[in-house]
Amino acid sequence: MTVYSIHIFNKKCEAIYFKQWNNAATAGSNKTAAIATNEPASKQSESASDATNNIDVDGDSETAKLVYGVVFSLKNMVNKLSAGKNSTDGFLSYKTNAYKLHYFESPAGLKIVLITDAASASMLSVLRQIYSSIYVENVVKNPLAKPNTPIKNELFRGSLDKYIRGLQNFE
Amino acid sequence: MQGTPITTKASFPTTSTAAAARAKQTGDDIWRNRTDKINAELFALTYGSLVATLVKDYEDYAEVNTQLDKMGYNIGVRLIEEFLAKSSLPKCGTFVETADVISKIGFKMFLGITPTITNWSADTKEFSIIIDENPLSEFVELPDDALLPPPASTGGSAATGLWYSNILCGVLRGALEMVLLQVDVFFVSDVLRHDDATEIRVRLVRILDEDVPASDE
Repeated sequence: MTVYSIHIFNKKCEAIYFKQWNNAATAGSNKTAAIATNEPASKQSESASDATNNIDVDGDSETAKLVYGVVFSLKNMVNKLSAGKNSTDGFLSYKTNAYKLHYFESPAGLKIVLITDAASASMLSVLRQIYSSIYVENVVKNPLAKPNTPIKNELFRGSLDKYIRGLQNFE
Repeated sequence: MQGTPITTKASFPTTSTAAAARAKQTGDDIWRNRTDKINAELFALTYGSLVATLVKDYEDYAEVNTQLDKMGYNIGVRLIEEFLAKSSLPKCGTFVETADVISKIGFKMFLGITPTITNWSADTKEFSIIIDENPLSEFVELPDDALLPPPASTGGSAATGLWYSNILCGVLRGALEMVLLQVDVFFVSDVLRHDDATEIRVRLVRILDEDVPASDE
C-alpha cells in the first residue's frame, strides 16, 4: 500500500495545505497524473526534476480546486441519498482502479483528503489522528498561526511528514 | 488583581441527572485522562490581573466587557477544534443536545465544572447556564462602582457595570459559530454583583449554512 498525497481545506473551502509523496504522478495513479496536466507547466517540470520525488507546495493550485469540487459534490450527494438515516459519518472514501480517496471532516469545518493506492484499508483512524494530534496541536494551538491561512508551520509539516512516513503502509 | 482573597469554597456541587449520564461520563473521562491542568489559583489570579489591566486601560466597564467578549471569541474559534479533537463527538442533533454537551463536556473539559442548564424557552432556542462555582471569580470582589449601573441609565442595566467573567460569553459565541450555530451569549446575573446565581443566557440566532466553494466564473 502507498500513500500518495494529502490535501487540507479549511472551513471556507480554501486549500491550506498540500503535500505529495511517492511521486504519485508516475506511481500509477492515473487520476493524479491526469489532473497534473492542468497544473502550470513550470510546476510539472519542477516535479519531474525533483530527485527526491517530494514536492511540497501550498494549495491553491488547480488540483486542489478539482479535488475539493469532487469531494464537495460527493459529500452532498451522499448526504442527500442517505437523508433521514444515520448520516453522522456520511462520505468516507471512494475507490477507483488506480487510487482510493479518503475523506475526513471535523464538525468545525476542517477537511482532510488523503489519497492512497486502491488496496488501502480504511484510513479513518489515521485521518482522525492527523486532525487531533497534528493539526490541532501544531496549528490551532499555535498562537502565531492565523486561522484560515495556508499552513506554513515547520513543526506541522515536519510531524505530518514523519507520521505519514511512519505508517506501515506508506510504501 | 482587585479585591481581597476570600476563603476558598471547598464543596463541589454534585449534579447527576441520569438522562445525560453518557455525556457526563465522557466529560469526566476527558477531564481525568486527557486534559493538561494548571493550578486553579494561578489561573484565577492570571485572569484577575488580565481583567484588572483592561479596567485600568479602558476606564470604562462597558468597553472592558466588549474586549473580554472579543478575546473570548478568538479563544473560542480555536478552542472548539481542541474540544472536537479530544471528544471526537459527532454533530449534535438538536440544540438541547448542544446545551448538554456544552455543560457536561465543554465546561468540564476546560474548567472542570459542570454548570446546570436550565430555563429553556418554549421553542428550545434559548437556555441559561447556571455556574455554581466559577473558577474565574475565585478570590474576587468587585469594587462598588463596577457593580452598579451608572445613575444616568434607567432600566436595561444588563449592559452596564462590569461582567467579570464576560470572556466566557465570547468563548461560547466563538466556539458555537465554528460549528455553524450563531448565538447571542450574555450574562444575566453574577454572584460577584450580589446576585443569587451566576447565570449566562444563550440564545440561538440561526443555524448558519455551510460555506460553499467560490465559483470559478
